[in-house]
Amino acid sequence: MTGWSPLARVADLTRTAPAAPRFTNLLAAPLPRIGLFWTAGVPAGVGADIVQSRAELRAGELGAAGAYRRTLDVDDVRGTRISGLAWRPVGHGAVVGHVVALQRATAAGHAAILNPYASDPFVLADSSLPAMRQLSVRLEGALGWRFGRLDVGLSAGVDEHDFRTNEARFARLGRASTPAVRAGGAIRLPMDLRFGVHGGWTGESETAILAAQPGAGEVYLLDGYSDPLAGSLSPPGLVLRRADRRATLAGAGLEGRVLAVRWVVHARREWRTDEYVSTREATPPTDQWEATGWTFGGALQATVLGNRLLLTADARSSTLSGKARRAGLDGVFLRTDERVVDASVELRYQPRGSSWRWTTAFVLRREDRLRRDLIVEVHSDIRAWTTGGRIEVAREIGSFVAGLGAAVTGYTPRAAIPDPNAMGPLYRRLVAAENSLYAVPAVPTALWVGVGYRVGPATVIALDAAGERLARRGPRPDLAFAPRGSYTGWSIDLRVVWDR
Amino acid sequence: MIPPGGAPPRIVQTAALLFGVLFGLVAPAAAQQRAERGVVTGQVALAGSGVPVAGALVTLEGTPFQTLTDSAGVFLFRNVPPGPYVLLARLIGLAPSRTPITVAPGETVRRSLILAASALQLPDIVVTAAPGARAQGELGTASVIDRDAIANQTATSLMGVLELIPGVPTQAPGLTGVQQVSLRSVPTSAPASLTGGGPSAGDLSSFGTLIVLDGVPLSNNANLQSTGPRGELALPLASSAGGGVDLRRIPAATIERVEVIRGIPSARYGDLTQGVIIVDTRAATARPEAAATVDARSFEANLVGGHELGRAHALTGTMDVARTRLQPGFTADDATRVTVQLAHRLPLGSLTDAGLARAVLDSRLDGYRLASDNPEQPELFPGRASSSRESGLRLSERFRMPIGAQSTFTATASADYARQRSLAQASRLRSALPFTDRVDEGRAVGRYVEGSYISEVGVEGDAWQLYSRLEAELLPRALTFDHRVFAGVELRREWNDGAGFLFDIERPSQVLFNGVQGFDRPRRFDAIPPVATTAIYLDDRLVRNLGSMTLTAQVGLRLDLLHRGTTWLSGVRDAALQPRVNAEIAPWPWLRLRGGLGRTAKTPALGSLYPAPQYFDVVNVNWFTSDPAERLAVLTTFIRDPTNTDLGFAVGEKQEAGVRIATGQRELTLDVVVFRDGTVGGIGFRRVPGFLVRDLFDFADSTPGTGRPPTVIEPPTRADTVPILLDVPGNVLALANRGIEATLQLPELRPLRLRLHVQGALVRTSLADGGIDFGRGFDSFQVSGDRTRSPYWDGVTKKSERLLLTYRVVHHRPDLGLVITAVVEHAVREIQEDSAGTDTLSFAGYITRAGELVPLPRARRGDPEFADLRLPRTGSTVPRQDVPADWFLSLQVSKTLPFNGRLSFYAFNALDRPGRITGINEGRVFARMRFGLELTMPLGR
Repeated sequence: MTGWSPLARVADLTRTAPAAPRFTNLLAAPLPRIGLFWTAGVPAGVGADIVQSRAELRAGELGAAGAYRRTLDVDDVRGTRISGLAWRPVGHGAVVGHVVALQRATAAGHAAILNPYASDPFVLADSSLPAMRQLSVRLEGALGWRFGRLDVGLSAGVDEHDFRTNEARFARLGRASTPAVRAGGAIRLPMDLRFGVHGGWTGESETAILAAQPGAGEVYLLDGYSDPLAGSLSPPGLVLRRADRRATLAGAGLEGRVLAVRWVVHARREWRTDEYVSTREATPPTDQWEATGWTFGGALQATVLGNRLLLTADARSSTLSGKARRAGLDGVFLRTDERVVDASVELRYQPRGSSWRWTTAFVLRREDRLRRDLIVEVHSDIRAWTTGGRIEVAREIGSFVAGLGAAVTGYTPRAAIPDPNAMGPLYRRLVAAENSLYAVPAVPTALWVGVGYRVGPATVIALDAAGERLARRGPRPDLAFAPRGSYTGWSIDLRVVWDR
Repeated sequence: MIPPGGAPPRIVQTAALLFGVLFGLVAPAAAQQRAERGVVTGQVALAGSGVPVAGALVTLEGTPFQTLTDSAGVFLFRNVPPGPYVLLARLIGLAPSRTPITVAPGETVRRSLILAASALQLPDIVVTAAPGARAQGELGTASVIDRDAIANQTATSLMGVLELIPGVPTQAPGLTGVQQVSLRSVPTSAPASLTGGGPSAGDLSSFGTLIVLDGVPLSNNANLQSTGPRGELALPLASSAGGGVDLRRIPAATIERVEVIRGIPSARYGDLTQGVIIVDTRAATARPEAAATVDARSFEANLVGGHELGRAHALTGTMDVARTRLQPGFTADDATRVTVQLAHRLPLGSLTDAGLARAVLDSRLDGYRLASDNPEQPELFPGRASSSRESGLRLSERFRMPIGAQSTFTATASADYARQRSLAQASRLRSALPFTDRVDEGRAVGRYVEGSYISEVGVEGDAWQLYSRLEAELLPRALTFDHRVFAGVELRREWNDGAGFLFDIERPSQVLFNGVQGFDRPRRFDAIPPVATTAIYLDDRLVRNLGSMTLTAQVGLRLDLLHRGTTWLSGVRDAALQPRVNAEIAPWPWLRLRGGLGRTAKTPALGSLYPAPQYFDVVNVNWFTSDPAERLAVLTTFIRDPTNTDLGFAVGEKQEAGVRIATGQRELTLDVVVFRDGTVGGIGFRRVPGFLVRDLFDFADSTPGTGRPPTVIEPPTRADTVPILLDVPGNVLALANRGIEATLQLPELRPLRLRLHVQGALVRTSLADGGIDFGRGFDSFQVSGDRTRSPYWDGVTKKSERLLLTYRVVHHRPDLGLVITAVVEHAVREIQEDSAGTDTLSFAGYITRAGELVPLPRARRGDPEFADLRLPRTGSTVPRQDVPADWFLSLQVSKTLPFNGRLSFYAFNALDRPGRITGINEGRVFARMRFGLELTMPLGR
């Protein structure tokens, strides 16, 4: 149900660490939804996909720490998150709104930008490992109208970040702003079909400033597998790096129903151009990243066993080809070809007249990532399967409800990565651990527990906690620079849900 | 100022003519017809349910018309003079509702007003400045900004609220830097590194903008927190001395309503040249609520509440706490603010038929503390630190009593105190300089200052203002006109009781010694006499129906007196007679044409009337050897008083003409105003040349190696002259602004619930300095006895031009309690330049060593005998900068929450557009992106 977000990344397949499937939170979660809006992200589908009102306010704490992480990942994360998600039919249409405010305190990250693992290879980093404070607010919404057989819709959002060191001798200041907008239309066809198209634009501006005040430090500009560009920064020196990232998409979706099965198929084409400058001049030299990609997907949903069992399946495949150019260097110096396939099947069961309910899901992820550095003529080729599942059980006792869940996933890679010993010292320090982590089998596991109280027929207050652990699997491989130990994360949330 | 024996200025003649026209020509013609008044009636109901609201207070804002709704929610006003009004309904616990109406002669206006728990649920919420609302009865160009619009701004203080005015650029929220408003002018100062930090049009404009807070003027006249014109540039003090009131002291969250009069204000308002900003705080509205705002740099929390103490007393209050960190994660610099307001209302006498008190005594207690701290960063800038703390307390009383049905008497009095403490320190590194500790005139053996040390300067001011006003308001009908007449007298006395300018004389901060220029000595502010001013005014607003047309006029006359002594009974030092006329005619209900002209006057600040004495420490003997025991410095200290006894009012002349087109209620409206302002006699500094006589001595026992300093042989054997420049305050600046302002409100695009509001202003400003520029070479001329003369240049005229368009797109869904506002600020044109000759023939003459000015006609400047004067002018002019157009976007989304709360998200410069660099140190840099959340929750009814 996040496919509708206009702020979802476009033409980018961010490299993520292996993770367990997310819990749905049976205490307060809505039923899984599919449709042109929910699945394909066509804003015009919102009017048809939303027929009831729902609102959820959530406040919670989160944290993460551990050694089994990539070099540019942060450690000792503590955060406070407040969010709200609501939708309701309005007149001849519907509206959805979503807001998330997050404040995080982190430590030990080398990266000076927000997302160092995007497909885009340009990363500003430095030698310090400072404590940082990050504040971000994400606001997005969609609005749709229905005019007879024709639906139109608009979704828009903005994601703002401010991150800065906390009393550091080598200061790191950054901010990022990502506005996004999508618009489209849909038409009802015979045979209970709906066809929708949409187009979207996302612009992201990120500014990072490194200031050697009062301490000195090293500044690194990662952009592939060649040893990163490095420079010393002494007081009162300052480095500014500005990124302007623009992405567009055009897509279409078709929705229909066969007997009791509702289905959606969708496809979209995506384009991205990222530009980086390091000085404030009238016409500064520009580093550039260009990428194009396709996403194909489909989902279906069916109720069986007399509406007691809801089956929802979703699959999508995304491909991306990208090339990077460095300022002052002719031609492409880095190429990537990546493909990610995600599939899931969820069963939601609530026996009639029973106080029990459960859900289980099976997930599958296939990643093929080929990154070729044409300057040092090395490449990484990582192919990995992630398979797993989760189960959640909940029971109502009077006005109270309690739930429990568990999830486990297996990450099985087959990878060819550069030999760290043949690479430069900064590669070994900043990049090698990441590639080694992708090349090592791992097991993410997770647990969830929660209690809730039904205040009224449509209002639930719930408190839940979740924990997740990531560690390597099997015997210790003989792989240099591979991370050791484990990485654990946790969250505690209080939710209030109005569901009508 | 009125020139003695001079003819009245053209504007006075024109104003007198208009008086004649209005009273002499129009009145007899209009007397043929009888003015008819109208009726305003309607019902107040709750949003959603439509249940009638009883006991709601309904007023025609800014007029004496007010009443309570009956049990059916009905209100009724009879005998309302024709004209535009704002109908306001309010009840504690509900958001107030405002509706603009126009009363036609003899007609009945019916309006239904909706009250809701949250303003976001009102169908007609206005989140922009309303250009046509004249709630205070003013006829000059004015904009009214109500609470709903303020709540929809990302404003920390009053300055942020004023961004709704055409031509005022938007700024990031927070308490960064001193905030002063520059109405109808464009700042002309380039960076201080280029101009030497001279006054700019913005300084002069903010100085001449009157701020009226809860009916009582604020004043910055007694603010002396400055190091003066010869002060130390490297010790910047966060002070608004010499400019307008620092608007950071007024939190946006505690403002109920702001009216900005940019045109010709009525004669009720004085001590201004640029305009009036009338601020009403929420201390009287008493809708209890708490709010908190947080972003990456700032935090602000405020509380508004009130309590009825029986029928006789109502006590309400507001409190606001805010903190802005200037560079969190980078420096520890921050600014904090705490404000507290208490308001007490005491109804007196029996109730009227409408259930309202016959007389009311309003008491206000306002307190604030504003602090800026820039602590030392020992590893980066050792020794450098500064802080500025200002705490203020103001008690004001206002007694208002109707006398009969047609008149009201109002007495206002206030005592305003501000405790100001500024501190700045810096690390100094000097070569050896002869130095004297004398604080009086005379010659003395000095010492040498050298090496590095920490210098510290403190400025301690205790600024006071006593203000009182007696005013009578009459509503007669005479000569078939409906009149609203104000007659009043204002008394004001301002002084400063502070310990003054302080520093350790052993470690002076000033480094600009050249053997002649002295350093400023400690000075006590409590030795400066108070300034007393008196004003008398008469203002009449007339309304007349001329057939299908309505004529409205506002004519007034104000006399400001600046007293010689310290009391209102002392003689008059300067007087400013200020006629003001505004007139509006509405040939059709949808069209209003108006114009106005008038004079205004601004009292000089205390620091200009009584400037600090200037010290010159002339070196007579400078015997410097490697052995400190053999060194000898003899210096003569001269003290010159730069007081200008002729200093008087700065006088503004304002003219404007405008047209307003409005189709229906809150549909398309277009306002266009052209204006021309001129202020002459703005306070600047004239550099008055003069000379000192320096004695020169012979020595005895000057053989090196004796371990003793040489002996000076008295009397002096010879003398020479040393030219000096005295910085004398003078009415030397002339500020001229002309431009056009426009606001356009398009009808709501109903299907999308979108409304577009566009405002723009094209303003051209020039600031002419009537003084003389002696260039940077004068310092060396002073100490070089072999140079007989040095060139000087005429003053610089600084020019700026700005075209700023602001587009506001508002999406309002009352059913969702949602307002989304996107603001695009489009800087279309921005030009800055100094108009001054810079070639080698641009000098105007030369100064001799005796301080004599010798002008030279341009034809002679090329003569060979003046070759030594043909120097390029350096350091005081800015070449033309023409910044290309650019824009940025800000967003605000507000949504109702359960329990009538409200959550707002704001993003200033949401796309983080950086601006554009066009050359070295040229271009436009937008303030960086800022975003945050604001949560507001009501606290019961």
